[in-house]
Amino acid sequence: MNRQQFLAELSQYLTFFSPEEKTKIISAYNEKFDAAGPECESAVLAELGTPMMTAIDLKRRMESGIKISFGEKTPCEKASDETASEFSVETETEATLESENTEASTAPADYSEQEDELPETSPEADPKKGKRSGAKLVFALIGASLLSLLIAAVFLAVASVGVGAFTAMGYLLIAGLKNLLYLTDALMLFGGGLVLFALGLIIVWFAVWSAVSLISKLFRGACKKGSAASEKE
Amino acid sequence: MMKKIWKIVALTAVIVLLAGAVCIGVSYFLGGSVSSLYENKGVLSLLDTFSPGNIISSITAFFGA
Repeated sequence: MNRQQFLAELSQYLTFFSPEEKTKIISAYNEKFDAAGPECESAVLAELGTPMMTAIDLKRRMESGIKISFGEKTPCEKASDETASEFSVETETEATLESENTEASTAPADYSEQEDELPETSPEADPKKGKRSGAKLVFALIGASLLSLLIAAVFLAVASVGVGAFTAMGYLLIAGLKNLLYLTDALMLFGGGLVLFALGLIIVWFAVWSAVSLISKLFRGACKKGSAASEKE
Repeated sequence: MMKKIWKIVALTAVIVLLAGAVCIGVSYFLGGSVSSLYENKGVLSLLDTFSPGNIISSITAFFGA
């Protein structure tokens, strides 16, 4: 990955920053690369890690109130300045930073847990927003449940017609078997029974399919609306 | 999954419907008819039970109309 690719990818990941902040960050990283020069570009890229890791680190710093500074020395300058002992200390801190970054990038669940913990340190507005979006989701789910009950009742009535057709088929087939001596009557009864079976099958399956697909769509819609409301907030 | 079940149901229904139609056709071909079926005393009570008029009257009675 080169500098241009890194910055283009980083720009895509900075969705949680405002456009002005995004421009500032990208220009700051540009300056950092300019200061390092083309010979140190690979060293800077190695220090920063992947664009996703950098974006997560920036977000974390922003949320925890740490000032984001880009005026640090480039890795080439560091290498020339530092003594052996200092270098060992630096590598230690780099290692801890890297391990933090890898944790954040490889374990999104852990990161989301950290995110959940953040409102404790942030102002009171965040828990209120969370409660509001949660309430919206609960209301949407309650509405969906009530509507799904109504849908289930309607399609249960439709299915009962199909079940009635199945019952009639059973009686007609039994009657046909009892009247096998009268072949024409028996065939007529069998024919009627089979036609009723076909109708009953289609009606019952139509009712089941309609109810299942409508109810699942309803719940999916409710969940989407709930999540959309929370995203807006 | 649902589409697969729909296909199976539709195919079964068509086959059964055709079989029923063939049975009725053969019955007519052999000289049978619905009116002759009503003359069969063993089936008469069943046909009365499943007659459209009886079904409608039982539904209206169920809903209290």
